[in-house]
Order: sequence, then structure tokens, then C-alpha cells
Amino acid sequence: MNSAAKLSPRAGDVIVMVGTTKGAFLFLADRKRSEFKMSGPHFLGQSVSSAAFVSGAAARILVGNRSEHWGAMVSWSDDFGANWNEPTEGNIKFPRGGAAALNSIWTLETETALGRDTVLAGVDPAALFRSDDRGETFRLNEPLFNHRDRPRWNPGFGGLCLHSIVVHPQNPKRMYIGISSAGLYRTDDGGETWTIAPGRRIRRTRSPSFGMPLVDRFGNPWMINREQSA
Amino acid sequence: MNSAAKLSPRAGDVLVMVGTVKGAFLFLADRNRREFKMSGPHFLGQSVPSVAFVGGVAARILVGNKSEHWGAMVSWSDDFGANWNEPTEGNIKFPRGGGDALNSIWTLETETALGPDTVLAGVDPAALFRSDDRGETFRLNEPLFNHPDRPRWNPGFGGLCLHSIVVHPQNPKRMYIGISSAGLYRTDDGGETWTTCVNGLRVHPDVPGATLCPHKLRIDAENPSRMYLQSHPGTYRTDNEGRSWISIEGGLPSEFGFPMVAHPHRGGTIWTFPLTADAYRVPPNGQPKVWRSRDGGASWEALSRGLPERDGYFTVLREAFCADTLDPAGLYFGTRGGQVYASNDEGDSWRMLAEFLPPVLCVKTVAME
Repeated sequence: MNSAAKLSPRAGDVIVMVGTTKGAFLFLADRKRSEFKMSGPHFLGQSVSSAAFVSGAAARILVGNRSEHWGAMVSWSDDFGANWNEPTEGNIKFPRGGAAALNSIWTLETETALGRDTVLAGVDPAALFRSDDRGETFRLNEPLFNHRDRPRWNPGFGGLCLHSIVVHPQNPKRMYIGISSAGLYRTDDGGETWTIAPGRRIRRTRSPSFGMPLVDRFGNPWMINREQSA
Repeated sequence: MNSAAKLSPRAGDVLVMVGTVKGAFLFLADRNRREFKMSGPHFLGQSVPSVAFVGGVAARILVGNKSEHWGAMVSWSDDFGANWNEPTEGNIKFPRGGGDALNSIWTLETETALGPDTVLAGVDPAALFRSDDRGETFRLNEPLFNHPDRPRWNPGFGGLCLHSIVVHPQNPKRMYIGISSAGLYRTDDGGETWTTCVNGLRVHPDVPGATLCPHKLRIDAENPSRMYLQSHPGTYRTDNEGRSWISIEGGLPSEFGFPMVAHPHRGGTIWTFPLTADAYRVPPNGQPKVWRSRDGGASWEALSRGLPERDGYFTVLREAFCADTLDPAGLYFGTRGGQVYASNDEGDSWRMLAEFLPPVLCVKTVAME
């Protein structure tokens, strides 16, 4: 099923990782980026809603894949897709006994000021998870998960997704996250406390049942009309 | 927003109607079917899971569009898309107080032996509606809606859809309908009584207890006792009006697929678009191919000239593959990747008619008289 041989990137090469509703595809080019070689599909038939790269001692590709059978997980390859480690028992989990169950892993952030071994994951239902072992195991950020605003967060059409994570490049205790369609939050103490980010007040429409506030990936609050939604 | 001027078809022209998750598009060509002119998007932002054409004294295009605000309805244009009539109060409705609400209109059948003014609509939740005024008003077929089997019908991944309607070409009191994932039903009295006709079909492998999951039912052009079925598990033919089904998937790369197309004039000629079953649902080996049989499914040949040779992972849905009535027959299919492909030689070769549409839900065509 794979359309190309093993990828063997050299220094200066560019890798493009693409996740789709039915698998992941990898593209490799030299620094001119005019000719790309494709490898894939990987995880054929699975939805791959996030992908990331971990460098350091060894290169690692991470994907947030979702098996209909096993559910969503962060899988990894240390050989550019030739072999994959799939933690089918799950490596992103909500506390036992609670009502929350993982739907999808919407973003994986790596290469931040938190260090090369740290991976942050934003998921649906809205929560932030952190790994310090290059994406193999994760733990929940509980202050955000237990935030008093949570009852007011509304899922967008795509679910209640934590989709954006920004780590301050010099001060990694400061982070920002974005949740559709709930808002932007900021921490200045490494995730112990989260406050809603000040910004433009979201406009209320005259017919609120047809309007929905959300925050885009760039942090802009929007009120969109249901008929124009994606 | 419209990408082309008003369409003005002449006799012999071919109109291709495409419904997508975000609007409808119309394509017009002369009988050579080489150069198509596009009009659209119509109903931008609305899902359009069904389209149809009503001939007779005046040409009418029907679409089953779904507005997030007004819900699903059958809209129509009598001037090839320049103006649309949208019955925003709804023209397909379930009985009040019953708890059923219309989700989508999945198929519109016209030009049947019931006459040029009759339109049949198959909808989700599974029900059959009939219009005798060219698609303006519809009434529910109550015997099917109140069928004793209904509590056993299970929605498939796409809902509980009545998606296939076949009217016998000589005896319109005989009709067949297909419902995902509930089965096939037949009436011999114009819709007063419905009996199941699934002998020989395998049950759904994933659902214990088990429901049947037809995907598309078509009738042979010359022998109305013969029909073809692409089902969730298997490809089938009946030679006795649905009393029993035999497997015709030998020679195909997969038993799974969504559409089935029968030749408009030539008996025994059919086309399908197999996908790798079941969790994958992509063309086998990333090589999209249409498969054709000239002998009622006894043997198959792959047709791929003009289709991607590799790395093609698109899907063709149930309602998104059709044939025109010219000779040689033209074929048209749309993909969930937003491409529309056309063939003017019964599938021997293909060309891309549109490349960047929203995901395609349905394709239908008509040759202008």
C-alpha cells in the first residue's frame, strides 16, 4: 500500500507531514523544495488530526492518530515512518471515573522553550496534556481541566477542541492556549493557574441561536453565522 | 460568486448536475461531451445530497438542498439555475407529533414510468415521498413509513437513508427501494404494501443480529427482471425481480463500494467503483479504477485511462456516479476530494471536468431533447 520507499533525510532536507481523515503522508525534499518524494499512507483508514517532529538525539515523528478500535493515541516513528510505535492501551487519558473521554488529539507542540523532550498536546474534550519523554507518556494539566469556566465552554461544530498552544520563547512558564469555541487562556506560572486572555469582547448577535463565538488559530475572537460555518 | 453565465442548453446538449457539501454546480456540454461550461455555486454553503431533472413541457432542475436555518427541502429552477424556488416552509415533512424530523433528501427519482410529472424522494430518516406536481409538493408513503420492520432498521454511518428507488419500466405499480442499513423492499401495488426482498444477501458482518446494508440498486436496461446491487458486503445481481440474489463480485478487487451504474440502453453492462473494505474505504493500492462488466457481472474489466495512476485515495459516494443516455454512453462521477471525472466512451477513458469542488455528494445527468 505504501507508495514510496523509506525516507532517509539528510541535513538541510525538508520534511512535510500531512495528516488526513484516512491516514498520514510524508513528503521529503531537499532545501530547494522543488521536488518532493512521498511516503504513505501510514495508518491507512485512521484519522490523523495532528503531527509533529521531535529532534534532539534522534529524530522522531509523532502523530495523533485515531483508531476506530483503540481510540486516539500519540504514535511515533524513529525511522521516518518505516516502523511505528502504537501505544494501543492509550497514552493520553482522562482521570478514571470522570465523564471525560478522549475524542481526538488536535495539536502536538514540540520544539518549544520547555526543552526538546517536551511535547504538549491539545485535545478534545478541551484539555492540555504534557509529555517529557518525547511523546511516549502524557499527563493532564489539571488546573486547566478543572477551570471554573469549563461549564461555560461550548463545543464548536468540530467539538470542544484545545487547538492552539503557544509557549513564550524566552519564558516558558508563560503559555497561551486557544479552545474552540471557548476562548483564549494564559498562564504565567507554568500551568498552575489560567486566566482568560483579555481581548476584544465577542459581539453578541441579535439571534444568538444562530451565532457562535469562537477563537481562531491566531487568537482572534469571531462570531460566526451558523450558515457560514465550515 | 457565480463562475459562469446563464446556461442555455440546446437539443442534444448534455447537462451534468453536481451536488456537494457546500453547494450545487451545473455543467453543460454539446453531445461530444469534451468541453464543459460550469455554472455555480448554487446554494453556496448548503449541503446538496440529491439532484434530478424533470423533462416534459418545460425543463426543471430539482435539488435536495439543506439550509442550516430552514432545514432540508426540494428546490427547483425552471431556467437552468438562473433563478431558484426555495420552499423554505418545507415541502417534505413527516406527520406532526410523530417525533420524526427530516435530516436529508438523499435521492430524487424522475423520468420513471409513473410519468413526467412524478418525482420520488428518498430521505433520512428512511421514508419515501411522492410528488405529482414536478417536485413542488410531496406526500409521505405511509405503508412504508409504518412498516412493521421499522423498529429493526438500524442507521448506518450515514444515517437511516432511503437512497435507492427503482420503478419497473413497464409496470409502475412495482417499485423497489433500498435503505442503509435496513434492506431492500418491493411493492407490487403501487406502494400499498412492501415486502422485503433480500434472499441471498449476506448480512452486515459488523453488526450482530444483523442488518442488511444495500448501497445502490439499479435496474437492467433491457431485462426489468434483472437488477444490480452494490451492497456494503458484496456486489449482487437478481434475475427474478429481487426474489433471490447471486454474488457477482468475482473478478473485482473488493466486494465493498458505494455506487452502481447500469447502462441506459444495453442490458448486462454495469459499472462500479470498488474500495478497500472496510475500515479503509480508499481505492485498492491507491489506484482509482472504474470496473465495467458487459455480461451482467460474470466478468469485469478495470478502466483507468485518465484516472490517477497512483496516490489516489478519493472515494466515490453512492449517489455520485451516473450514466447519460447517449450512444456511446457518457459516465460521470464525483469524489470526496472535490474532483468530477467524465467519460464520453463508456468508461474507456476519463477526463477531469472539475478539480477543486467541495466534497461531492451526488452527480446526475440528462441529455436535452
